[in-house]
Amino acid sequence: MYMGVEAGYVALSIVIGWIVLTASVGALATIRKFRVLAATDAWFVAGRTLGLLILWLSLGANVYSAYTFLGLPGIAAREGAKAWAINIYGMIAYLIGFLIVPLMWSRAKEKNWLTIADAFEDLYSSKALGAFVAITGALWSIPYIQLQIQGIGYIIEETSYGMMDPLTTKIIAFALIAAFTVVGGLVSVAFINALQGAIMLIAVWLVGILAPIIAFGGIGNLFTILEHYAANQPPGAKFSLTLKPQDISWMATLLMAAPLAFWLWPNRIQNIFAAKDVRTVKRNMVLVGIYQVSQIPAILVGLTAIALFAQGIVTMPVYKKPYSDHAFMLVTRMLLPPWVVGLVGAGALAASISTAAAILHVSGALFARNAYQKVFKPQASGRELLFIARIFTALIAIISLVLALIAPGILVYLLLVGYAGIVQFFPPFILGIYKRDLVTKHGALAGMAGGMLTVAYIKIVLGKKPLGMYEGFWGLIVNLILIFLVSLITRKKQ
Amino acid sequence: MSRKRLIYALILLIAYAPLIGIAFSNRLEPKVLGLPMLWVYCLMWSLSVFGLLVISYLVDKMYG
Repeated sequence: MYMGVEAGYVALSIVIGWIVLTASVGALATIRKFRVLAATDAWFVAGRTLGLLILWLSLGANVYSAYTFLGLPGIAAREGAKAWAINIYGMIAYLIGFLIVPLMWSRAKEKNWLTIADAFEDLYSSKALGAFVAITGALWSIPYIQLQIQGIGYIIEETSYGMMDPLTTKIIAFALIAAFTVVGGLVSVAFINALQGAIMLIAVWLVGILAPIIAFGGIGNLFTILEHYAANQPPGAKFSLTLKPQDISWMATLLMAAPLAFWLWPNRIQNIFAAKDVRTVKRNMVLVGIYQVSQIPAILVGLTAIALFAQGIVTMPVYKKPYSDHAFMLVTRMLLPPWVVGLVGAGALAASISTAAAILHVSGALFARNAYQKVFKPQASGRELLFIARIFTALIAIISLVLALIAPGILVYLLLVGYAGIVQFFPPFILGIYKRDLVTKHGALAGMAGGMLTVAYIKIVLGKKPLGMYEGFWGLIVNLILIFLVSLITRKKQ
Repeated sequence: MSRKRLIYALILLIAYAPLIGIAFSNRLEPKVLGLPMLWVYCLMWSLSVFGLLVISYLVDKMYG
């Protein structure tokens, strides 16, 4: 195991160098108007100009962030078998995406929608509904931003080999995200993203496959240690190689609800609507699905971390939060030299920054355009809208930082809270497209608001999931009841 | 319903079908290559959904 200040300097220098390189190349590409290289535009569209391998690698860096590389090994280390629910819902999300996204794209093209708020505004002929979607979309992105701040903080903490404390690293994370959000799409350059994607992909497979072999001589031995650990774990630990009865109902409801939200995140749907060719969208869906397979070695890394703890080789209590989310970087640090730790950390860190910056950027733009301008001040100038967007973005980012500092959560669960809120857009969106006569705008509003309030009530007030079921699923039940009930009442009145 | 949509509906049904068997496979034994039964089941489920994604792509190409 490599330790000490020297190792920290090596790894941190690589991380800092990488960030500077990404920013410089991004700035150069934008200044010279190489817009075709800018991956924010190219997320789906660049397939026409970029080689398939470059495209595939850059897509991976765009989609995956701290959540996959830290969150998934984290939940595997802390809770064991439950990690599978996360991998499988993601895989199903791509399948559902393949089936419904082309339909969404065609409708968006036909109706000239650019954002999800545009879609709601047009479907229900209501600017207020568009504003509601813009604002709540941003609010439910808070846990997503929070997880990126925490994740980036953990990466810096680990690559500094203990030289930096958690508070400093989270503030640095916030500053990095804020800086890259202000400069907009500068960071996202396809070639840099491709390199990042390649590093992360190699790292996850290398560490995932090698770690159990180097540490325990193979996967069979790893599971023997884990079985023993599960039977003799410390008080408060929740590790299990099988699912508890409440885990099964959670998994079933998660698999039914979360995949529906996957493509409704404001930043993702914007990319879909912007795509010029539906064939590229479909092809990319399959290509990105391959990355989902790469989550399997990430699960193995988490298991290796907890087995190393069980053997007394690792002293960090990776069975509890927030330490469990350090699992990936911890195992990487144990097995690989500092320069590789630096490269892996830099790749994951840059991917997390670009994900957070993209969400913040879209949230601000949506608020300014679909809420402020359309509802409150139609005559607002472009300059004023930019100012409002930045104020709103800053507000969302600061709330996320405060939550990361005072109420740090487990990365995977933070994301799932966001999904639980965002999935409430699904029923009125799909019904609005296919069965518009069944739903009124009041019904749509009541359904979404009721569903989101249900999620917030379960998460904040109740603090536990009724019958073990995923909060997003409970929200959907309330959502559907309210949609039909309120639509029935208001349609009669109309 | 067109043939393509029928196939898609069937694919979705197959993707969710393993949910029914999860309660029965929720155990450690028998092990396959050192992996507990539940882990083999989930691994196969995950990979099969990816397989279904590829099949959907091929169906789409076939029916246009």
